[in-house]
Amino acid sequence: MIESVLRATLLGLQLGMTLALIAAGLTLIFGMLDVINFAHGALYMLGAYFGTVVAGQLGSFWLALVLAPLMVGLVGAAIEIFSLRPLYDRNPLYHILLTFGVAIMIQGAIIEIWGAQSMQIPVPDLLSGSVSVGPVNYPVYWLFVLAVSTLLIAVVWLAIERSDLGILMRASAHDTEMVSALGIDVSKVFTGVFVFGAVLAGVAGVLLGGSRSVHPGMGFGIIIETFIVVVIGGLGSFRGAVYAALLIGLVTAYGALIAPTLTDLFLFAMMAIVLMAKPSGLFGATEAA
Amino acid sequence: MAAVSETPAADRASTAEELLAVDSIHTYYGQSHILFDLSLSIDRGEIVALVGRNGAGKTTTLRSVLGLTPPAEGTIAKDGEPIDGLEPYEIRKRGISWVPEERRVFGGLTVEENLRLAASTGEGDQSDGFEDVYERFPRLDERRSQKAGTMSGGEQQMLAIARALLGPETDVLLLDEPSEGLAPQIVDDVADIVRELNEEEGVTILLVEQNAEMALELADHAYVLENGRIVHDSPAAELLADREAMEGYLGVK
Ligand SMILES: Nc1ncnc2c1ncn2[C@@H]1O[C@H](COP(=O)(O)OP(=O)(O)OP(=O)(O)O)[C@@H](O)[C@H]1O
Ligand SMILES: [Mg+2]
Repeated sequence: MIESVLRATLLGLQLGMTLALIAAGLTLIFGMLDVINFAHGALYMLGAYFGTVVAGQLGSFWLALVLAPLMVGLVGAAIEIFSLRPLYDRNPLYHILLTFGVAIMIQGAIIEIWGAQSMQIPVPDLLSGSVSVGPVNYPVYWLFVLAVSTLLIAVVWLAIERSDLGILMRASAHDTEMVSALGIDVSKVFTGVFVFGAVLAGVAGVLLGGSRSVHPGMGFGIIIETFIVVVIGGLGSFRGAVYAALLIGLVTAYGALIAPTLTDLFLFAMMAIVLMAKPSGLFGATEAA
Repeated sequence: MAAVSETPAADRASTAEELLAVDSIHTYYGQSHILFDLSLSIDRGEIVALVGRNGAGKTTTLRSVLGLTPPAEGTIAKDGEPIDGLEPYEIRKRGISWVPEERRVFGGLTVEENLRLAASTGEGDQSDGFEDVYERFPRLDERRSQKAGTMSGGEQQMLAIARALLGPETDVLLLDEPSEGLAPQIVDDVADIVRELNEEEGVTILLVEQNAEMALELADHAYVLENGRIVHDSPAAELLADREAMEGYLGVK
């Protein structure tokens, strides 16, 4: 009993932290650009595919972990500069149509290039096998995923709270026009935030590509879960996204222990309850004055 | 010239150096035509008041200069160089700063963070600017780590002014209704600050006000705006003394 609870806790934390990596970008992009990025799942998926390619061609998982997210960042920059930028002044419906279209294009390109079959990123020997965590025998790779994603989230958190860049991001989320009138080129900030979100999603793609299967459906698969996280946490709130991601991760893991067939229902029920109790999400609208 | 004149506008015609020239602009929000053939001229060192009733187009005039709502026609020049068509951030870098209506401080950020953000666009070490600002606004110094959104209206107004002064050097400050919603005592404080900035720091000021009397007492020159058109242009004291005009244009009895 204790063993399965401990195992589920570790699994839930790992799930939560990787989800946080993806949700962080989605929520920051919404908070600052006012764009709901339906292509975010596709960026995560690209991370996994680029990871597969780099690891396959260069034979190094570590290089894949660094290079693939940067490649996703480049794709993100292209999406923001060439397709989103001309549409900022338009009705949000355009953003949804555009990013949804981009997601479908990326998925189509992936099937065209790599086919529809599943792949996996080979994990280095150092990270294979398992270790005992107390009474539990747990895969080393999963612990590695937990450690890397936790570390990244902690660094991003600190940067947002403390650095000048974080101040700029919070101010832009609040009042973009005012920021531009202070002498800051907001369009650069927008591109930066979009690329940053894309890179984080790319990291999650590589990390999960080593433990789950890499296939063309994974982008749309993850986006629903990520949306639930962002809505529960409060659209635009980074802190909220992290807490909500952990909550969802743990609920999913414990749910699998108690009633595996009902976990999806749990998630939607949680979202409904939060929305009824606090429509702006757990941390929504606390940022604004 | 024998002596430096006390009031910069006294010899407006002879020695004045034009800092900001707005020439025949037309500005729209979408389809609605708001400003009509509007021209303004502001000399270096002056305080210029822009007054008019609700909805006359005062804020839109400032937004046009700042590049936030660029005019469709006409030109705007600072120090003789055209600035219309530039992005708002480029216009700020040319020395034009803005204290917006309703102050628009970043409420979720602390006072210090608000100021750090403004200073971040300046060149070189900004710590002197910081100390100057804290010296001029001791209330802000006391409240460095307070969230800006929890401060009083007067304190937020001080923060909005301080924020506009940090970063790239400010040549001309556009103030949009700084007295709005403030207690009379605080309005006096704001007026004192505007005068000090002008006299001690040499900042040129374009002051938009509903509170016409306060603005005209401070200003050297005055423009009255009505339905998007300049309908009066004279030394501020002249307008202030003209009871008929004051009542007709501004409803002040
Ligand atoms: N974003 C906008 N879209 C459409 N019309 C606008 C917009 N902002 C202002 N207007 C209109 O433009 C006109 C001028 O507005 P503006 O805000 O410049 O007036 P103002 O002189 O600053 O008034 P107040 O003293 O109330 O601040 C008004 O008729 C107003 O309704
Ligand atoms: Mg106004």
